[in-house]
Amino acid sequence: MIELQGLTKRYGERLAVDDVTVTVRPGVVTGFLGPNGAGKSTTMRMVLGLDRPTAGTALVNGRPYAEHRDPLREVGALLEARALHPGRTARAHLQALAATAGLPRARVDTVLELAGLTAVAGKRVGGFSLGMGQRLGVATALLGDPATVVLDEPVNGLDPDGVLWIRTLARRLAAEGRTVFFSSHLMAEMAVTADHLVVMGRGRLVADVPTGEFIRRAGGDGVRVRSPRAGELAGLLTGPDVVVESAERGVLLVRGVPAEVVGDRAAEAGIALHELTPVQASLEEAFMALTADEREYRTEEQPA
Amino acid sequence: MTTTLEHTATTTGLLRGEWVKARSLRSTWYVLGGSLVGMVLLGLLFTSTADTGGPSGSGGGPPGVDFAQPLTLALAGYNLAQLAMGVLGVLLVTGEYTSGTIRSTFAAAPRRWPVVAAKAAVLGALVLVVAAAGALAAYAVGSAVVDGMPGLAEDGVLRVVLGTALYLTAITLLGSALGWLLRSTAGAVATLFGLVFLLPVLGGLLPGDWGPDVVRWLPSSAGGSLLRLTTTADQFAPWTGFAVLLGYVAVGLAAAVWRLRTRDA
Repeated sequence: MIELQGLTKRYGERLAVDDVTVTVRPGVVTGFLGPNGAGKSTTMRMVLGLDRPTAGTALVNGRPYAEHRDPLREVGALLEARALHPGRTARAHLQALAATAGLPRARVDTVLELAGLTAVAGKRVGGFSLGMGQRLGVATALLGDPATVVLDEPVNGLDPDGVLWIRTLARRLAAEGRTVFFSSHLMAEMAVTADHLVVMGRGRLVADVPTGEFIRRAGGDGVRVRSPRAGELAGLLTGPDVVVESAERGVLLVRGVPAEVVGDRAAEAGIALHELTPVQASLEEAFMALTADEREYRTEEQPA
Repeated sequence: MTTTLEHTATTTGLLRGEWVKARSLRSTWYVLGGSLVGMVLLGLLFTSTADTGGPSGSGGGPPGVDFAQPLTLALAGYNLAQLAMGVLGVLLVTGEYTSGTIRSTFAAAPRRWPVVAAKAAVLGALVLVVAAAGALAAYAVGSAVVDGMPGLAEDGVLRVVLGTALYLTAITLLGSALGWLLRSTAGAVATLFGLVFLLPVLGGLLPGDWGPDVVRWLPSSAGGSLLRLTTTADQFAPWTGFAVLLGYVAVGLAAAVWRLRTRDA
């Protein structure tokens, strides 16, 4: 559980994080979405007690990070790729941290195994590929067997194999009842990995919603219908929440009615359908729609 | 709910963690090994050429080496060793910043001062042992080569030999304090060299009636008193001088802790 309350960080004139209040719950993967520079990393660093908030609080499992007796057992974090000394072996890196945090030495082998690094544990990190470095970063995050896992851009630069591994791992950790807070600027990745989304834009909280709802809000799911008698069909699909659009001749985009209903109505009226496809608004579209709102909001807010 | 600030990151754990970090880098052993060998070989060079007035045959050699005193000749290698060991002190700190591991370190042990103290303790112990071995070896080699080397039991000789190790340890810790304060390898190394080598030379250009009063307060001049069998009027007494050097180290480390507490990691 991560609770941010009015969290604010100012660097000189710039507000990197602007009054963010949000709760990241256990048991689900919470995606932390936003363009580069939105304040995601700064927020995560404040959660870890590395940066001090200008205002507000960041609590993990009920307390500020630094007040935990065993911080690494509470929160494990991958804060940036390759926060590793190139001259040290993977095992030595983990051993040093385990010793510093007072964790049992056996955890080192456990997380090396979990990250698939056992074979290269004795190799110097300088020779690691980006993917191996990222795996070691995740192993570091899991060293304390933490209840809350914070991963900043874990799929950055990973090959498809690595991406799948991170995705599966994040879902498994959440299924074990842990809090998983996972940032990315890759929205497609978030759509498949996250159950819940926290979205930031320019330091502000833009959305805090389940992934499905986030997409629906930005236009929602729809049904694409192609028919030679599209105009006639559109007249049959009326209702309070139904929106029918037509981008080109003979093609309708229908929202608010499931594909089955569209098909049944067409059949009843004897209208031939050439295509009937459920479509999902992409997370990209949803995100653009939301940040556009944010821009308008900002303009309105300027003093007259 | 009461907040406990008692962390499981225990003193032994912190010390072990820092020891693993120091020993798992090859550079640590290169620097320590190089310093040890350098101290012995330079001692050998100076003592074996003592009869002819030093390596250049004209009484030359590093400043502060008294060719009439076999003991300082044998230990002259400390000049080089302090460079290497000072850089090691810098590197073990700035390496954490350049690589980013400092964040994992502070995530594992959120309180700043115990980390600074543990790093200083491990580094200090490591350098003290190696420097003491180097100084004793250089003394032994020098004694075998040159006539008239004072015995260890003679007044002040053991103090000079082991004082060399203490001096090198203090310079290393000064390097680590500068590393914490500046977070940059180049900046901290340049500052350390400036303090240790450049300032005494510049101080020599000051007017004679007050220049020496400034120079003797400099870290390397004050600490260097411990390495002299006899000190002159414009130098501190050996232990007083070393206390001044330790004062610099203490102020540096305290400033480092203060900086860490007020600044984002």
